[in-house]
Amino acid sequence: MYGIDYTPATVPDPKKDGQEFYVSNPDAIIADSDVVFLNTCAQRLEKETQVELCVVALGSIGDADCFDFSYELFQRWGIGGKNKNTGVLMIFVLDSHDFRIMTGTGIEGVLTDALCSEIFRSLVPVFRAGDYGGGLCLGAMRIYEICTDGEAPEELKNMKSVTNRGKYAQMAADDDDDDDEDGWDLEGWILTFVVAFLIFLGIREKWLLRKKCPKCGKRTKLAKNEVKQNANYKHGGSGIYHYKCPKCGHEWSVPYTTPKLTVSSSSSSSSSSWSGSSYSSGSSGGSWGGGSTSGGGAGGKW
Amino acid sequence: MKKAFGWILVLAVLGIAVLWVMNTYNRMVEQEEVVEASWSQVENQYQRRADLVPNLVATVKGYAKHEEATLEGVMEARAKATQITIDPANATPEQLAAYQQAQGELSQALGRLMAVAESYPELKANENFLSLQSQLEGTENRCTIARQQFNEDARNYNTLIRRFPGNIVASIFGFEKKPYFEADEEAKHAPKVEF
Repeated sequence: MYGIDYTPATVPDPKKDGQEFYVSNPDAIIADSDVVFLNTCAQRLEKETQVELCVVALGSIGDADCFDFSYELFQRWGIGGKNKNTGVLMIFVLDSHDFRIMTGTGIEGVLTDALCSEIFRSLVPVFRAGDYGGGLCLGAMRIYEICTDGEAPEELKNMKSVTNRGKYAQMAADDDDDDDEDGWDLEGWILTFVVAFLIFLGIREKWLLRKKCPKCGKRTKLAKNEVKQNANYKHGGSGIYHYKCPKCGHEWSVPYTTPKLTVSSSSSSSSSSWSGSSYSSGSSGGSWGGGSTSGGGAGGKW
Repeated sequence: MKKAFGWILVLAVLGIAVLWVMNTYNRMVEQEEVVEASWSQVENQYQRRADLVPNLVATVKGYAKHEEATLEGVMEARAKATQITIDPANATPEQLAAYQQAQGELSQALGRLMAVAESYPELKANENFLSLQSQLEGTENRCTIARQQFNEDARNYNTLIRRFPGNIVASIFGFEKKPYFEADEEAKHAPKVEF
């Protein structure tokens, strides 16, 4: 009825349009004027306390559970600073009457579960009356008030709340879902190649470099390399390989020549080129700080 | 010359092998640390919940004077739940199941308490009660997330120590599999009270 059922992967990220955008309102559930207010509020909040407030208003998330959805979205976008985790997600879903405020681990002490619950309860009548944008603006104002009250701004700015997720999730995310804990890694590959190389050398020694004895057929290695002259730019080289079979004692010789050296054969042509154009990731877009949540906050059905 | 080259190569191979063992071992240690940290997060959240209980019980008592059985049930469940401690380095699946069971019983007792509170409108309007209730809901949610997180980290660790050829290193140094929290559909979300 209100467009598509969103999943955490399909919700449009407001930061894609620029660092100064905090509101995702793809179904136009709330008015543009409310979006402007929310953005202004979030900007001021970030400026004064470094808290990242994200507001998401959706028509529908299908049958998904709002808590799980919010958690996934929060973690996926990484709301809040990476080492502070003072991010807040305020999410509103129209068809399932869901509302939730989800808090990053670093902001829990200031924006407590109890306060979030209070905010939620105060907004229920507003939402029920149909003023969704107004309700969200009130919520944002309340969050702003709480975070800028008294010593809260200092506490939030100085917050260090690095979570497990922060450190290790980042590594996993960088590898793009590749298993970072693969037991077969660089050393393993080097080891394999070196062993393979050794085996190759061994085979070469025992097989390729040996010649068959004309008499008994035993593979014989080179006994002596008698070099008559070395190859240079004036003339080619020549010499004689001497073999002695260890099995039957037969000795024989094989003469050989090597080609004259030429100019072009001694240099490898290397074409210089630019290493490629440098890419800028997201020309005008911004991003959230990479923070995470442990599932705190409050919310429910309105 | 050739003989020396052969020796150098052998040493190089040995060196690389040693490096690989070191690296693998270290990664296992690191991931084990991650699992232990996740475990302590689980314990923290459950402790946080346990800490809410006395206050909650006291508040309800003030309004629901004749619900002693339910209130006592909650206090007993809490006592049982806080008694069980687990050392994450040596946890067995049975230990973890017992821990999860005890916490689950506390969840159920709390659920009953919340259901009882429904019939007391004055209690429901009490600010302190509402605040405690929201904290309880929040904490239950955090417990859920912490369990999920632990399971994920434990899974990564178990995969790491069981994969070939890393599992050789694991068995030499005695890295053992970590247990998981079993899926618990009932306790997934906090006892909800509809307004």
